[in-house]
Amino acid sequence: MISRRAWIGASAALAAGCARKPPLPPPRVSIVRVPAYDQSVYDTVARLFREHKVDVRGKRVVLKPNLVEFDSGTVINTNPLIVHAVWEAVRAGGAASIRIAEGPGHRRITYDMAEAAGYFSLIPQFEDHFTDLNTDEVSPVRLASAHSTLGQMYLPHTVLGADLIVSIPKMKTHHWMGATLSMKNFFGVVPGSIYGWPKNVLHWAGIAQSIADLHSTFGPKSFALVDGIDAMEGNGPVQGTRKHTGVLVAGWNLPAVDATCCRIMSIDPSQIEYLQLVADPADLALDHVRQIGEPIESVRTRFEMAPNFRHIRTSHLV
Amino acid sequence: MGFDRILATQNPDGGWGWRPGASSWTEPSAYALLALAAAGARGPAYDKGLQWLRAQQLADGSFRPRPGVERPTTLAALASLVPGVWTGASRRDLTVDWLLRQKGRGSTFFEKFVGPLFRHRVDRPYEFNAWPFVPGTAPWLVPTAWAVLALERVRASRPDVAGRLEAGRTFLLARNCGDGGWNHGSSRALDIDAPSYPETTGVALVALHAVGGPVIERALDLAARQYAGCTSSEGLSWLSLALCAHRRQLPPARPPGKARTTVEVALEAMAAAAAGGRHILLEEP
Repeated sequence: MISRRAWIGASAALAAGCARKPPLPPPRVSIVRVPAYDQSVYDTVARLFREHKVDVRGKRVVLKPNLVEFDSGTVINTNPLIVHAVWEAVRAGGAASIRIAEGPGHRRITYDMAEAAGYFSLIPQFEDHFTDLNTDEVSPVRLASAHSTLGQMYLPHTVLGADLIVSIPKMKTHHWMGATLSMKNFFGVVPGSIYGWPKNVLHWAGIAQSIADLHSTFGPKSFALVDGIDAMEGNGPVQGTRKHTGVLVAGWNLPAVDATCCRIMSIDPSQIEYLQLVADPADLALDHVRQIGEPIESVRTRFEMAPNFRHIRTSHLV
Repeated sequence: MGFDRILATQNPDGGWGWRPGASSWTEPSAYALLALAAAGARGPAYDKGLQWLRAQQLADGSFRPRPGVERPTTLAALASLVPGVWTGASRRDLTVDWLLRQKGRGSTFFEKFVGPLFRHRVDRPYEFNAWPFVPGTAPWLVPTAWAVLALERVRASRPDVAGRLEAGRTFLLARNCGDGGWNHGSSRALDIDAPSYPETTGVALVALHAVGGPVIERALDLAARQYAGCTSSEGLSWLSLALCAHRRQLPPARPPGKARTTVEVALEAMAAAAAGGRHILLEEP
């Protein structure tokens, strides 16, 4: 006959087993070599979408590039060829609607910056398909997590109403965060018309914490494609220098994508504060993320960092 | 003409959206009204717009960014510049008092002297009581410029604004970038100079129209050079407004940038009026 103590212990173990969530499959992240911004990018992006089963049929899709400064000759902004390649892949996939959307944080002349960056010349009827998220219609939304003090924010209808957001950042170092990749890209959805230029409310709420909360809100419906063909090293995200890395990095799990990008940049992802907030280190460990395509060690390159972040650079880390 | 486009894009409720057909927001409505006033077009459409704008003043004297978003912003200062916005001294003083209460975050003793010990090195951040876009954040160039212009308007009847007015001008001068112009308000970070932008160089110079000296002269020289190479409608307009404010001769006429938004169209009209002798942002009430 089972003792009462044994029965209680067995019951507790059974309950714990039932409550334990099944382990998630390892996140899949693709690394593809892309030597240049040329026509081959279109086939590469289409292949990445198939590889990750990005199904856009009947969906409202928003493409979110990184558009920061009024300078066509630098590596500050996501290259418009990448955005157009994603546009074509989404269009071919049968999306119900496609918008390109961004809300720059420092400068208000969004359309002029897009024109200078080449978006108007490369993407047909660009102005008709573009939304300046800084001046979009907004609604109040409670963020899906509470790492920061933000709580509720007024956020743009274009991203709130999207079925799928494709985060298309430029691979860059960042002088306050270490790196800016697919998750920090969501700072661009916070409207300056409500919060000002720059979006200082995010800094006071905690940059890493704000990244985590915006990711929890938009990440579940997002796919990331990082423009790392010509990346930025040094004093990013604006005053750094060109670093040819020759890769596109893609996946559904944005923290895993960002961790992979960090490894490519010779940055220890466990030292990136916003990644620490959103994921257990084991979930972003190299042996947990399923890398598809090029192995990291074949594309890893040493990025120069701002002085305050040199300690997170790990050239020996695979 | 710019003001024709502005009249044509006024919403039925009297306000203006960021782009034609969009719902009415405070900032584009304020700029649209400034443009109409600059053109001398103060008829029924203007009055309807004033009525809409006045309705965005909150009980504490601040202005909401748009109906339904009950958040205070320093758009109160921009709205103050619209001729005829005040129906009486009490409504005006409500906003002036609100502006005087606003300080960029980082202005307390702790934030000025203790906080920086634990923070990354940036500009000496908050030594001046300037203005944020929204309460609880740091001071920045554009809202401070608006506030300086707004407080100038009332200094004759409100001598108590003198100290803050001077603090605002000092902040603007302190945030001058290494290249001589201004950006959003962060001239230096991690010991590295940040570059200026044409549009914010123009905004700062307009706000500092009553200030002279080598910083201003250097900035005006830069503004003239920026004007020659600027392709942005908003940038060209602000640079024109700045050069006119300091009675500098405008460089040879440039093809205007493409004005796509309500604010860009309004600024072009305001700049054209300023070049013709009427600088709406500097008019006394």
